[in-house]
Amino acid sequence: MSAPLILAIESATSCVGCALGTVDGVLAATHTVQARRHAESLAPQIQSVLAEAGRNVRDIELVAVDVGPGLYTGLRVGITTARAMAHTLGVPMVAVTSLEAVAWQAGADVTVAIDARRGEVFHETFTAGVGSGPAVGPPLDAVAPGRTVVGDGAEVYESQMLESGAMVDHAVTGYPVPESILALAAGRAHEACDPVGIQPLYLRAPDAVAKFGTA
Amino acid sequence: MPADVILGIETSCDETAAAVVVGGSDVRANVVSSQIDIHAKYGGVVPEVASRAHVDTIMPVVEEALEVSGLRPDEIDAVAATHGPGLVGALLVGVSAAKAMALVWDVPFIGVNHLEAHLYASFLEEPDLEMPLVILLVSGGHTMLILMEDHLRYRVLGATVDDAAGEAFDKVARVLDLGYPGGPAIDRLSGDGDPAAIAFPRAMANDGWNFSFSGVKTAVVNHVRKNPDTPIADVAASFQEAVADVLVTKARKAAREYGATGLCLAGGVAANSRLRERVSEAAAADGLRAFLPSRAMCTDNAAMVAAAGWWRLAADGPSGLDLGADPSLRLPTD
Ligand SMILES: [Zn+2]
Repeated sequence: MSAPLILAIESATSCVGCALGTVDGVLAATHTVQARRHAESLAPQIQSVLAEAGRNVRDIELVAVDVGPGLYTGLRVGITTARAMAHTLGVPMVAVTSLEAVAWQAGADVTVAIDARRGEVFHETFTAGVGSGPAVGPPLDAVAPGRTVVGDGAEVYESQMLESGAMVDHAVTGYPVPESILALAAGRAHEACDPVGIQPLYLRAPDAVAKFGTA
Repeated sequence: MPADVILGIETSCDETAAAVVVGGSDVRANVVSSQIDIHAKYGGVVPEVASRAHVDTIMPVVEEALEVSGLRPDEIDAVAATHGPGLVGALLVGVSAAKAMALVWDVPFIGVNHLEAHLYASFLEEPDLEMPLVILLVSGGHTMLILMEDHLRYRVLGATVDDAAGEAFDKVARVLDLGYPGGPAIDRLSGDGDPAAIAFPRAMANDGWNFSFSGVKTAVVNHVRKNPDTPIADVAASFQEAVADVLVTKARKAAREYGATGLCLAGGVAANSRLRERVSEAAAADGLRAFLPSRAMCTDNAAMVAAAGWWRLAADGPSGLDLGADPSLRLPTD
């Protein structure tokens, strides 16, 4: 049996794009980094990677998506598109987090910090490929002396991070790209679940809910 | 064969809805999942809360609509979704889901104007409506006096210069401590009140086609403060009467001036019993036909989106998959 054909969708940060491929590699991929154009870009990008790979949408056997944390609106565009496609195709899904994807891009033990706006970052520390769990908080929560920090949040708050003795690695792409979502999803295809099991990772309650103190 | 079976999707505010409509008027399924209970504790719609709820609900609602319709997914000829006006984060959920399904089924995607959808609600129940029609589109976000000359051809004669009619209902309900949503609460309470008890102002009643509702809202606030003993049912009934009076007076005048054959109501406030009564009476007195969509068709639903989508697809063809959401989309006019 051949490896399942995976469509991977990235729309959780400033990057929007998708990749088509299998555990053996990428057949076609595209992305743009154009904030607030996620909904306009994503569906045409899916059509274009299918055309480039010479595959039909019905050939897709698994849909992978970045479930965040990230920018809420982009995150919803990606998750809704991915879930609607998987549901309509009748295929399972795999979730990948934005933090895991950037760590995979670094290929080493790092702390990932993704800009969460409002003076905070989404962050997680990875050791030998195992994460500490996603969190949100001030940039200083993400750092420790001697630790290497990557991600667009590390770039935004670089001076604070350097002051506390951390290192910022600019060689790593600061946002998750669809090829990383594809690669990570291919490695966990056995964890594939029903589309209803794929939940966005917001990490923050909506403001009104926080204010009223109820969930 | 033209595209006949349309799956409609609506997520512009606080209702997650999906419907299957055949031939622009034959409703095979119309499923609405309301978030009213979720937003009630905040006293209004919270955009981020609404967007999150749409994400959770959209596919179950679509699945239910398909199931109720008894049609197979491969019998859907096109997918239509509201792409504006509305809350941008909420709109994007419906637009994204619709595009994804259109892509998988290889059928056209149609971006629908929410205001145009409201106008088409009447045609779901009366497909042979004769035009020109004068339509009062009244909701929480909009108050417009529209002349519909033919299918997809409108003139906006007037609109509110400040609050929408539905907004005034919500604010007055808050002042009277009636809870959220305000419209149905005021409607219910008014049944026990005297609509002539208090002469609230009829702003701009004899002055052009525009509306203003912030004055009447302020008048209610002032009245309640100065006369705390007035029964609130009288306040509610008198307020409701003032709003209905201005709306109907202008619609009637417009119908006369533009030779309309009928008066039509659309939008959430069109569910108000007193407004419906007043429109029926006015139409009967002036020899016009009155079209009052059922309450379920007045409030946000996806059947109206599918109906408008059917007409738009026939006239303009499909929308591009690069269509975004436009929170301030306007009604297309000549
Ligand atoms: Zn509406």
